[in-house]
Amino acid sequence: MVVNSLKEGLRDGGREGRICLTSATILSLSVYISAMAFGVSLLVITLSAVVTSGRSLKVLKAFFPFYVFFVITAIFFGFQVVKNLLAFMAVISAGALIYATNIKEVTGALLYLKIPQKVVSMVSLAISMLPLLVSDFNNMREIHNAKSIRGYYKLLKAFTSTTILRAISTSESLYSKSFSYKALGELRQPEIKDIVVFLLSLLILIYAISLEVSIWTPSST
Amino acid sequence: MIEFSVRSYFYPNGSLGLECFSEKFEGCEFLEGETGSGKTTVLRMMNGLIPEFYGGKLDGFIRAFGKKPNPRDIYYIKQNPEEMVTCLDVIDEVAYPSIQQGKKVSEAKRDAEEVCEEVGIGHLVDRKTYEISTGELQLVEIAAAITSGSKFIVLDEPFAYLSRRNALRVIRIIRDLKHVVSEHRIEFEKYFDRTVSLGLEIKSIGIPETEKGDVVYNGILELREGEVVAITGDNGAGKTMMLKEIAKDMRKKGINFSLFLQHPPYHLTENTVEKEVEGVNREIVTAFGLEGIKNRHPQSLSSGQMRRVAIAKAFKAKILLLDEPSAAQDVNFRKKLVYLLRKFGKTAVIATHDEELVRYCDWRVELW
Repeated sequence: MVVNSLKEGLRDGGREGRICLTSATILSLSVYISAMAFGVSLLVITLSAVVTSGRSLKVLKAFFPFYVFFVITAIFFGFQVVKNLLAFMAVISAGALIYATNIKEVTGALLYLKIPQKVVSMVSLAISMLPLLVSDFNNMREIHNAKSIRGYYKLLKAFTSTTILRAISTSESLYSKSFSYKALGELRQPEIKDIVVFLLSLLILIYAISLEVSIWTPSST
Repeated sequence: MIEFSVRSYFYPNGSLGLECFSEKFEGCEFLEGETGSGKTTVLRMMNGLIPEFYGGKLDGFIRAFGKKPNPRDIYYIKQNPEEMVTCLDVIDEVAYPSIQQGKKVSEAKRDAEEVCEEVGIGHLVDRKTYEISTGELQLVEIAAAITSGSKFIVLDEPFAYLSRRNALRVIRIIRDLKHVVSEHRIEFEKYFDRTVSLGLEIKSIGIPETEKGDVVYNGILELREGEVVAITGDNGAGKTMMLKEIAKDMRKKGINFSLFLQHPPYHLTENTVEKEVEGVNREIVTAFGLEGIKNRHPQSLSSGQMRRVAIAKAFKAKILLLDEPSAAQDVNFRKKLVYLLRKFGKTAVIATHDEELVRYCDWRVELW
């Protein structure tokens, strides 16, 4: 489910790459600065869902097994865990903001931020391999029909070795394509909608800071 | 021109890759040979993958256009085009090698668009590489090779996963380029100027007629015990999908079967070949040539050998669902496969492009 939803993210979105990358960072920071406040987490989840046209919610759904883990933990550690769970979902939603753009614009944004070409080309290649790995994983699930721990073990073993062999094949292809670490990226002018997303992210950050400041400011009484 | 004078080549793990091979390739050559005869090794030597990338011990020399082979002059296209993919967009994929060679991105993309039009895949430029069929992806990789300005194109079993129609389309496109094609589907040999053989003996194997038993599956198809059925159709017609649907239905009905899909490593989960084929009749193991490699790790084998191990493993079940089992296998394998299926009374559904293999099946389902 997680792998499938990652592939889902490869479909292009309409937002500008640099805006999405910075907004994702700002929103993650907001959750952290606000000490995982309910309001901030909810705002981040909502904004991401709106900007990605609901695709971030699909990613959240993919992480369902982790929520079960949180619920079990809540039995021992109480209500605080729910707050942590919401913050966890908010951070995933912030990351999923990348789904609102396309991969070429993300690599373009990384190059714009002066991340070395070598790193960017590696990121871009890893993403390009994703559809193949997703289809490999789905095919292996059909073959091994894992229903027991031993079945899952076999599936994992086959997936690991297939991934390694695919990586070797890809490096062979890179040699044949005279690979020289040049990364492909795209940049364009942000539209008004993009700027609105950025401003809303900034507002959430300001709200998060204000919450923290109000906790640390001594009351006058 | 590519000139070979190789006395021997050993891969880093010590296995012999090629021995006593002297040849001159001028272009438009068809390279044939049995599985494991060294065809892929020859192709990898043409652009320097061997020994530059793989290492190993080479005794002899290879010269491409009078100098040491390099990927800029000789473009190597792998058997499975999915493993060549480096970009998500078709246009980037076609322009990628030129960009890596130092061409400006805008210039490379303009050239890529022109080449795509020439090759007849202009309609694909706005598509994603993971959305198009294997046949189309093969053409995309050929377009990338042309855009890169390589002097020579080397294709490793390009027709393995292609329908006859798509294979002929590829032949038409590469006709004007200098190329070498290594292939097991020898029915295409006549379209090339010259054949270079690494040793291929076509064996005569008699396929026994068998009595068909009761119906063992009645769902998407009706299958009788001992029946061998072929599913055919163009690339993207849905052969693999149909096989998977049958598998799903059989699973629901509690029928024991084994499913073999195109990529052999999916099936290999043990540490030795012997463990993989445990419980399989020794005659099958011997017929597939697995006796000599029974102590090897399955993932260390060549792709052809891995495929044989995975198919032999599938013989554990009474019903076999096989997707392109004859790809990357020499001409004798298809007869051997049907012979063994008949001899051991197996029921099989085979999705394939291989018309020769279809001839030995009881009946076929043609998908449109």
